[in-house]
Amino acid sequence: MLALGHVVIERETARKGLLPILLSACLLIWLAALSIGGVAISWAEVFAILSGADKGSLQQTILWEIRFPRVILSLIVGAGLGVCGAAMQAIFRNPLADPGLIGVSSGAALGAVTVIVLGNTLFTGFTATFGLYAVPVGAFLGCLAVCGFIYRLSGFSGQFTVISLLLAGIAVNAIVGAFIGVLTLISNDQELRDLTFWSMGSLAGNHWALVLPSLIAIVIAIVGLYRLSQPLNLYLLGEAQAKHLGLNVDALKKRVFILTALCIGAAVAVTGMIGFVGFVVPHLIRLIVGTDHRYLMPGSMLLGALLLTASDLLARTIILPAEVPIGLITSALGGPFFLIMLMKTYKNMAK
Amino acid sequence: MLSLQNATAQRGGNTLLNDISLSVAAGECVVIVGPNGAGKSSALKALSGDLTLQSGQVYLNDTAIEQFTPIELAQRRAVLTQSYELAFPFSVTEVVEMASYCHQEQCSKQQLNNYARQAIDQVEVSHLAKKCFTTLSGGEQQRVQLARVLAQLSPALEPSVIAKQGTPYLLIDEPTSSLDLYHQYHVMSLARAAADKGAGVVIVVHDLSLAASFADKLYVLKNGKLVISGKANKVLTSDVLREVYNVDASLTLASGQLPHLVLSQNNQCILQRA
Repeated sequence: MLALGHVVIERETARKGLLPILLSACLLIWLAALSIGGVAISWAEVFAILSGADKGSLQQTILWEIRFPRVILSLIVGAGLGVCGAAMQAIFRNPLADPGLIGVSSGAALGAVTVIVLGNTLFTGFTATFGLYAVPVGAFLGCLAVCGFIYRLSGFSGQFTVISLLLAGIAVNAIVGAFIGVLTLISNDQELRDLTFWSMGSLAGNHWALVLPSLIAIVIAIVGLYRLSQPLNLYLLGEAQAKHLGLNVDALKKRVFILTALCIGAAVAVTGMIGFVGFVVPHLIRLIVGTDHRYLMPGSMLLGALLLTASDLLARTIILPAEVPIGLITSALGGPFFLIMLMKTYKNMAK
Repeated sequence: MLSLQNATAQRGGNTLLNDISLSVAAGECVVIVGPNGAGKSSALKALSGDLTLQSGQVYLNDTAIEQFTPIELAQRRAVLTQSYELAFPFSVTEVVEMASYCHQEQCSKQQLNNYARQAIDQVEVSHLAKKCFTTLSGGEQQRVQLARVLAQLSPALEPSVIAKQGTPYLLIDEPTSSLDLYHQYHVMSLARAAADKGAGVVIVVHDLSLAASFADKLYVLKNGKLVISGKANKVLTSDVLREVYNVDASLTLASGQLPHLVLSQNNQCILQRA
């Protein structure tokens, strides 16, 4: 199996050490992301503002209204992407699986593109009601609709099997892709630009009013998925074996499906598409602490948060005053990094 | 008592089981044998509650098996299947400790880890405990999976637990298929030992010498039907072996030796090679 690393290193040590290291790294990147940007805010100022000593300054407004929600968003969305990636790879019992398989990405894209292209003509009521939030709300609804459809289809034969889920996912993704294609075809230049950038993801321009509901949904999903760690371990033994060990396998699959759809739906709605984090993060953690989800889940959560926050920091500072779409950064950095880890692992295995 | 009563099962137009009844009591070691496709594994699946029956019923300690929740069932019976699909790099200890899942409410973590360690010792894989499961040989993997199943059964074999929830059962399908001679007999004797501690044990094997050596009772199946059942020396006669396996053979029953199957030289299966 690809990229699993069949070397069991001193896991106990790695497990004990990894979480504190990642946690402190997250804290550091959090402070760094608060301080670095178009307007530099020194760490001393950051501390002063956070402790409430500095009130009413420009820096305080920037920190509270722009940077703080953005950094919190990147931390939580990154955590969600990491955890959902791990959960999907377990449910499909395949390290190549990612949440896109259950329609989250295509559904959200369909919703978002529909609002972008048809929001001013067919769905004026929708756009008027949600105003600035029309695209995120559309993306979330699209995600729920497509995931719900795939869920119903895969349970059609009475059994909720992984293979029926996979087949339904592939078919529906193709159909949704065609719809998106049609919408792209009829879009004008500005709309085309909007939807292209949406599909590359960005954490910019999010206010508390939009960030908060998403964060709540993502946190609920993360907690829910983390609590399924032990059942997911059992599930990897094989469905029959897990059942024999006392696990309600169907209920587990359904729960993971729903929580992942909720989490990624809420994330994609506010950030657009961010590729590769959900795929690469669980792999890296698995190389270090092994497959046990009780360690893999928190590890993926923290590394996801770290990676996305670091990527966002790069995305918004590298070509100031403009921004690079974060999806570009995660893929451009994540890809090579993953390859290096992979080669190292194979080298170790060959020894 | 774990019993299959008048079970008939079909899948895709094939009859897997045809009106079969069999049962295992506490302390008993039952072995199911038969040629390929006889319905041995299906019978075991039916006993473990995995197979939907067209007619008939499975009772575990006098309760219909569907009435148990997955957890309750796991506390009362452990199953070793023929194949496993584990492709993720768990360590041997991690695999065996998964048996703890259904007992977490009743037992302390330390107790459960003890059961796991004992099971690892029993199947003689303690030197592999920290190794990655996917790197082991087929036979080693099989023994590790058996350790997991034994660790699941152990808590249910405590006298206080038997008094509360009745006899536990151990169902194993082809546990010896990739084992060397020593471990074939060793694994079978571990199953036998579980029966001696009060479990009801059902084993599916191909090797009739092994079957005859360890079974209290043998069930011989062919084409989904029960051909004959009873003690090994009564069941594995030359007539039955010819009828069921199309082989000329007999069972040696010398004192001081385990029963062994001896094949005559002019068997059809050998003579046809030309």
